[in-house]
Amino acid sequence: MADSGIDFLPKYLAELTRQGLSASTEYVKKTIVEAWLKRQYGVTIPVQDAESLRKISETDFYKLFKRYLGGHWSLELIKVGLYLQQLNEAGDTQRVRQLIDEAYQKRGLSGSRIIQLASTGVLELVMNYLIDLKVRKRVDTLVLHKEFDKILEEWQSISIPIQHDSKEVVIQSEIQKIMDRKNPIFFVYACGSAARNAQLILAGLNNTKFWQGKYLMYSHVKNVRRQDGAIIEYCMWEFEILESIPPTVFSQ
Amino acid sequence: MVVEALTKDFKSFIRLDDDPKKLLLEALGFGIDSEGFVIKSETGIRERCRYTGKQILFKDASVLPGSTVIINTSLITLSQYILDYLEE
Repeated sequence: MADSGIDFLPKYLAELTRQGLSASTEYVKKTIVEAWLKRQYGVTIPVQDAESLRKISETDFYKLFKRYLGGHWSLELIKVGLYLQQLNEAGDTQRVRQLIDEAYQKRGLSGSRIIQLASTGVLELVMNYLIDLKVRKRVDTLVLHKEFDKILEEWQSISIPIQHDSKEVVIQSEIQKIMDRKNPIFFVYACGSAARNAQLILAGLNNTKFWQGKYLMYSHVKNVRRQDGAIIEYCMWEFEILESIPPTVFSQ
Repeated sequence: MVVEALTKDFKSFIRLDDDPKKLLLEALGFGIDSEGFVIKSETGIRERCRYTGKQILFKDASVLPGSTVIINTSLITLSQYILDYLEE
């Protein structure tokens, strides 16, 4: 083969097409196959999507998550979710709907929930929470798997979204309902223009010591630069029931 | 025989127009039937996507790096492929 550069195969195929040739002759076929098996290319339709997914797979954040959650069934959907968050396609309901359906067919309700979490911008924060569990509590990988599975299964009943026009009294009531059920953990989240409203509501409730003595609150904040350059703030507050926190020597 | 990818030399994904893509598939032992599905040239049997289990329309087909693995293209199948073959 005269040329083995990166552009050879596309150019060669284009030239054959221009000349109206097929791959029926042994030489042509052999040349194409040899170039193909150099493994430098993948032919796909949405090149930009494929390259973006590959870049996500090379980020430190994804690699860290994969290291801690290694072998979890969700990894193929996690990359798609992170990509969706980058695009911020929450408004592209048709594409999100298609992905939710495909994820459901492949992985059931928990699979579709990963795409839902991504479409609301909270997936990365949930991943942060799991990474934090590993770092803070040295939780075993299998326990992390179970934790993630449980979060996905029960997300509807353990999470409270705050909108830009949500009222404090309504959010207070939602939080109260979950605390009455004594859920070991629950999440409150908001993004974009709703983030400020959420911060004010939770600060107000915190000042009234609303969850004091019952739950500990941790906050996770992430600023994401979208592909169009805009920066979007994502906030998630994790509430952990105090009973699940082991006492220290001095607190006993 | 399916040639699996070993992708340490992988450079990038590319898009081919229909005719060059047909040529590539032809060289790799595939054809397209009258309804537009990818078939194995030797047997005429429709190829199935390893990730979706479904038959593959030519217009939806991705050919994976250095392999004769053809898949139905979606973000999820591409992501699965990257996980299986391109990630460390």
